Amino acid sequence: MRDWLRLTRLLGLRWIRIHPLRSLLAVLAVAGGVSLAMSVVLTTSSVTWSFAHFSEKVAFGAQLRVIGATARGGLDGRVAGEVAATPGVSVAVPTVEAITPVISPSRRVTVVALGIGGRTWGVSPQVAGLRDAFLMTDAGPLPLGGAPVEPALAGVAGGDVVVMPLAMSQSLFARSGRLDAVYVVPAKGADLSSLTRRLQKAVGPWNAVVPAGSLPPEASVVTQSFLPLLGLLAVLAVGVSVVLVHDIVDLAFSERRRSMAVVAALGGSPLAVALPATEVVILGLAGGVIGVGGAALVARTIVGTIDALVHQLAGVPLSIHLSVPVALAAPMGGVLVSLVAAAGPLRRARAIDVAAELSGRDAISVASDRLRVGRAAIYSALMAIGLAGCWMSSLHGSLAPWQYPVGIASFGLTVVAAMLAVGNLAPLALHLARGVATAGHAGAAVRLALSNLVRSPRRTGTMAVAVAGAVGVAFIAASYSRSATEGIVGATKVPQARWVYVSKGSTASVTIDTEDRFSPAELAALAHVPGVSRVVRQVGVLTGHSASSVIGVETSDDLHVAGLPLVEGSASRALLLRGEALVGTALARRQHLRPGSKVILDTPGGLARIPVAGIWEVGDFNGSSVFISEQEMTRLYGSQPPTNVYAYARPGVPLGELARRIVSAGIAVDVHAATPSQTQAAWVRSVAGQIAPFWALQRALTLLAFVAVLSTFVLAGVQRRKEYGALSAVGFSPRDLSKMVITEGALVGASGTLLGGLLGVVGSVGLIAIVPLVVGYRNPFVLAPAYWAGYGAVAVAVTLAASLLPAWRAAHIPVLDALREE
Amino acid sequence: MIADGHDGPLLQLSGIWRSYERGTETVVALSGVDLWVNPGEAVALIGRSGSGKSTLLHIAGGLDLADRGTVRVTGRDPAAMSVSQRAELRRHAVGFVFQFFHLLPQLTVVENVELPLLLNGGRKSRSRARDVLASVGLAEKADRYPTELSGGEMQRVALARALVGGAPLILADEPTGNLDSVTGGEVLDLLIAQVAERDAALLLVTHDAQAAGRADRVLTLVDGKIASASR
Ligand SMILES: Nc1ncnc2c1ncn2[C@@H]1O[C@H](COP(=O)(O)OP(=O)(O)OP(=O)(O)O)[C@@H](O)[C@H]1O
Ligand SMILES: [Mg+2]
Repeated sequence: MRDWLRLTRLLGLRWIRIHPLRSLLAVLAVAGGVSLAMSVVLTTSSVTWSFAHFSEKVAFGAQLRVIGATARGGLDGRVAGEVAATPGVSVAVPTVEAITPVISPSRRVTVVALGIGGRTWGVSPQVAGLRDAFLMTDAGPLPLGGAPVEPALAGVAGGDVVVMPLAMSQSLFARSGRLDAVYVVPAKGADLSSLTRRLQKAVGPWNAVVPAGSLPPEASVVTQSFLPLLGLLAVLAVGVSVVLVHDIVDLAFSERRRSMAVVAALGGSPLAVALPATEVVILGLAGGVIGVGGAALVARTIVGTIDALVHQLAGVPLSIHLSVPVALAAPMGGVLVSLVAAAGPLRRARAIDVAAELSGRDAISVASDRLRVGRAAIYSALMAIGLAGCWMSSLHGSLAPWQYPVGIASFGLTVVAAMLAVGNLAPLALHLARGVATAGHAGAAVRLALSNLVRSPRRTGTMAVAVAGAVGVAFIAASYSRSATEGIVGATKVPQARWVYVSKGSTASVTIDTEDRFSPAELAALAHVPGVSRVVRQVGVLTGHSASSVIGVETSDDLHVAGLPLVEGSASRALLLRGEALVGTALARRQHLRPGSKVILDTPGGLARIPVAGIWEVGDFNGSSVFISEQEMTRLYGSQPPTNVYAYARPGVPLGELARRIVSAGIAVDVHAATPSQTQAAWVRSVAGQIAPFWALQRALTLLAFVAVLSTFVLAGVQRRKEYGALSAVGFSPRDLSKMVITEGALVGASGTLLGGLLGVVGSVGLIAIVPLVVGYRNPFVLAPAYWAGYGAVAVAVTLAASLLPAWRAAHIPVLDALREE
Repeated sequence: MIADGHDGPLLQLSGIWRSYERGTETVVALSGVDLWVNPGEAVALIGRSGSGKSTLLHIAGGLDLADRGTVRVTGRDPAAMSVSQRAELRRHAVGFVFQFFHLLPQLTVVENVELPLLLNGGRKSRSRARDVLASVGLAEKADRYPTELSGGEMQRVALARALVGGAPLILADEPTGNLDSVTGGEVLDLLIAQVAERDAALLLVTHDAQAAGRADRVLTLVDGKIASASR
């Protein structure tokens, strides 16, 4: 036992003690990779958690919640009585949960306005702290001065909350006789699942009984527009990091391989032979633990960008939540990757290759170039298959159910295969460059730099993948952003547009808005503003009970549907007026809808079946939308306040002038009016918000590239000390040595940039092809090569910077000591 | 004393073949070697560079396996053993002195020597390692790192590591290759004395005719075959 402890100390830990810098760099590299992969997981879990946690806090200890056909006022008021009368129910609390702004001269916050049966009116301490504040409602602004403060509300929805009697909320938020939810406290000893069944039977299939703390379906509209993109990002991040971490660990391992071979030669038991691996496992573990912190940092940036939008739209504050499984996954991932990297050398050390290992013969290196060409070809072929899959998944409006999984999987395959191809192509590209350099009589330092890189293809591939990852993601993010922007510009048609977008609160038009919508009286006042020819309202209602069944039902005053991208069937005003519907592609795919079939909608009065006239690619509700006539909307959901309002200009009235007139007409508090170009700019900004996570990832990748190049050079430099000594001995000056290392850095940067271009083009093509699957509309295909060049320059600068320390160390090698090392 | 109560040669090789694939060509390193070493005997193996001496030693020590032929180390057949059993054989029956030392740079001299004892789970390993180091004349260098030693000193550390476990078969690959003739002679005397003292067997690869002269028998390896034997 004591012997084992000593053996562990000697073989397993000594190295870390005498080479702290190398160990630290390896840890940092692992940590970087782990952070990257985990940040996306952490972001996703944090967003989900924030929503769930929010609902829990609002639930006030209830266990079940009955929700209606639509998100706002979807529950008939009589349901509360039916619920209360169901056996097993102790208390049934009817509520209205409106999301709406509170505006004070200093700030504007989105709050949850809760209407609760039997409650009196009050505000949280946080809201009470806002001076001269108004609560915006469908019935106009309500002054909050003098409202009673309820300290217990401080913890609900981050303190952004107002409560009021149920009847008051119903009249303020256009829900006469309607409820948003009924919370259920079961009687003592009642069985929850049988109670759920009884309740479901009592309220009818168009309503739903869900756990009180479950995610509200409307929240899914927000999360669904982020999470799939984040998921794609995760594929990218995890792909890059796993390849990187594995290679870094593998490199750290090459130092231990000889130790393992020697122990094996001396007759060490398999366990003893594996001991040098414990160091690497420790490195993986340490990297994983630090990686959790790094992940939290990266995730904070990403969540911050999402919060900016979600908090305003849904009133849900997003925060980072590190769950135990996520916190454990990172160190375990680090250990797992180390173990995988350890497997190869361990097998070699245990098998009869000990002799070969000891004589420094690497069985792999002999055939390595041919092998690499083969692998590069295989990965490129896989990449092409992936691209073909992306393309197939985008055909015919992506209506077939298989197209969604195939699209997502193909994109994953494309990116991972592209990355692996890059790892194999980089050494080959440098091999070619070496030929050129030799023919072109390049200096000895440059030639040696090229030879060094060609000779250790694994290492070179790792660094190139890191650099290419950073450059490629910049390219992809920029291309996606340009593509989406051009899509918006194409859709807005600014030069021909003759409207002004009128809203309360903000100019951004996103699929769900807060509650302060225009009342009929305010709309009438708008129509009378001089210069307004007519007012067009768009109305949207969210139905569905779970994230996967949400449908947005929409209409507008002018059923102007010609010229919109139709995938199947036909679209016309006449068809809509006959009671037929146009549905989005995601919904058609999900419910197997085709022209002529019927789409089933939950309504407060029961289930409605609407014939489908056509399927179109408009991105509302990420493609899960049903467009119907206003008459149908009123028939199904009653009269609804508008979500979007457009004021059309009379001929000759300049749009900017009309916008000014509307704002100063005083039709309501906090009215904004935006010209088409301003509206377009707001939409473009919201795209930028969606892409923000990509840029956060890109910065993380750039940092990772720096660490990867630095640690690789330091580790490689250590292994090459003897060689540097020999070069000095034959007359290489310290300057030549450092020049050689810096040239290697520059070459890695350049080849990484070049291949990052490949990764970028392939990734952009794949992403733009599958984006319709995720968001429900198609963007034009454009690339952003300028960004590639720009970020390529950054990458080269980063690799140069990373090679400075190793270059300095190479130049300051004590020649004699270096030569004596084994 | 003969390990495992075995009598007859401690090492017996017959009809050993070994070749390597290198790309498309095949390098034949050994082509039918017959050889034995008895207890208490020191056998020298000479031959040109590349004639297959190290390969032969690796096979004799169970580090490598022959393509054809039979190997008996203390009467046991490494080819018939599992990987762990072969490791166990090396641990108990074989002491290796490698051509390129193969000391672990992260361990001190005494720790390197101690390593086989630790792997064996032996008691008082530290003091035994120091004793053996003293017997090769390196007592004062015990706590240095291998990189701080001269080539000859490293060679003697490698020797101490091979001897410390008391293995009955010592395989030494040019143990005097890096030493001047005086030191080389001393190291060799030491090795042969130790082997004789415990009735062990020594197979010694060398380029040095003088060194070979101290052995009981000299075998010459030419193109993978034993060409001549002399006493
Ligand atoms: N793992 C291997 N892969 C390929 N060829 C090998 C391998 N090991 C040995 N060889 C070849 O086998 C032949 C014999 O090698 P070996 O190392 O046994 O020679 P040697 O007699 O010990 O030479 P030296 O006196 O120079 O040490 C050589 O041609 C060598 O190149
Ligand atoms: Mg040899």
